[in-house]
Amino acid sequence: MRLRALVLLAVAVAIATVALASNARGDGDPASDYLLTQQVFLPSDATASSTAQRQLLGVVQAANRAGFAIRVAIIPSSYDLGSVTELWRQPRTYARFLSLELSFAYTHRLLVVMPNGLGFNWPNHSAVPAYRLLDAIAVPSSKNGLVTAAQSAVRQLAAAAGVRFAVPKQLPTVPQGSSHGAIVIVPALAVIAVALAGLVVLRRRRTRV
Amino acid sequence: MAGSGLALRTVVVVVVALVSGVVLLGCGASRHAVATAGIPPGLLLQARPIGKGANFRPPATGAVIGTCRRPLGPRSGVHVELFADNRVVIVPAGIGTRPPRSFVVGRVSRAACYGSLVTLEPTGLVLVRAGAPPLLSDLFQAWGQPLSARRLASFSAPAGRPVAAFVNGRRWHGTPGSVPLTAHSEIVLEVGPHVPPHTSYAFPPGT
Repeated sequence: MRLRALVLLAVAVAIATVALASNARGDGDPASDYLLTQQVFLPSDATASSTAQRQLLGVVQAANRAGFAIRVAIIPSSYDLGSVTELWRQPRTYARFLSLELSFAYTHRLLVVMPNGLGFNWPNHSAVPAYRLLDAIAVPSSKNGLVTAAQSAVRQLAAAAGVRFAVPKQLPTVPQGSSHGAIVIVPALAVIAVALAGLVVLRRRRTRV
Repeated sequence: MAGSGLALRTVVVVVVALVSGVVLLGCGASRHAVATAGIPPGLLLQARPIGKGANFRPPATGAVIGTCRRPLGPRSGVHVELFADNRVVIVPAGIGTRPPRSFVVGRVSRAACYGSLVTLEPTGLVLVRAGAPPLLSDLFQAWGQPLSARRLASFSAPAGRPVAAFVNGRRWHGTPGSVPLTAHSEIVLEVGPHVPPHTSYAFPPGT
């Protein structure tokens, strides 16, 4: 009886392991597809032609070059969330969701700007210090309000981390993407649990013989 | 006596392994809980990571479908999502457009001309010219990737589990290529483990 319970427990652990490994991260929102290779996601109707947008691209590019790894998603409308419109006007939650989506390729800072505020996430780091800064940044309701708020946020976050950078006078129009990182999702525990369960059953049979 | 000793040792080994496993799982689960706090469970169920490697990012190499015109002109949006081996496959920007192309922040800002169906961004948003809707097979032809009951771009279906298609969350029972690219459809194609399909997509204004 005891052995049977152990086998069942082992199988349960295996199932839990697989479930935990498989239900993280996602897709369906445009920003995740862009931020795989781009440092900035701009809304679908943007062409990066406005000065403010180009300045933001320049600031983010300069920050990354200076060693302050950060990517930025500008989300002015629910259309920019694709299939995850439930997260509209939830910049903090969306920042966590986006980080999970990208976590196999990008594990650094992520800034989300929506009309009602800013969201920040950096996997395995507390967001509290960042929010102390970001909570003081207002998002203007002007046309480029989100973009200018994002610029301020990146500059202040970098400064708080002791990173100084100068934005080149020649503003970029086509920023470079970045390379992919590695992802390793190995449900080794599941394999071990199943193997142990098999071992128990085998030994039980042997002892009966 | 020897048998019961062996059984006892086995039990001890298994218990130690399981306790270690549970502790490890607990750590992972709590980190997972923090990372996913506030995210609706339904979103997490539909969520998959974007696959790693070239197979998950097939480039646009196919021919332009229909008359290639400039400018782009009015279009309707269709959203297409692909899952293979429980991972997202990226639909690239530039399908159905003729080079030279200019890209701004990952989006096609200019091409020599545009066919009857195009992608300007890497999000699966397909822009279709007015008229009889093209089929999913046309999209894959313009992409330059295979699509059949057995093949989905770089991926082959496992035996007995053909490529599955869903339109607005409902299973499509014809061949995958016969799905029409009707305006504002949310189309999901899967090969491998089932992924609960999205039922809708918020299309940008003007599409």
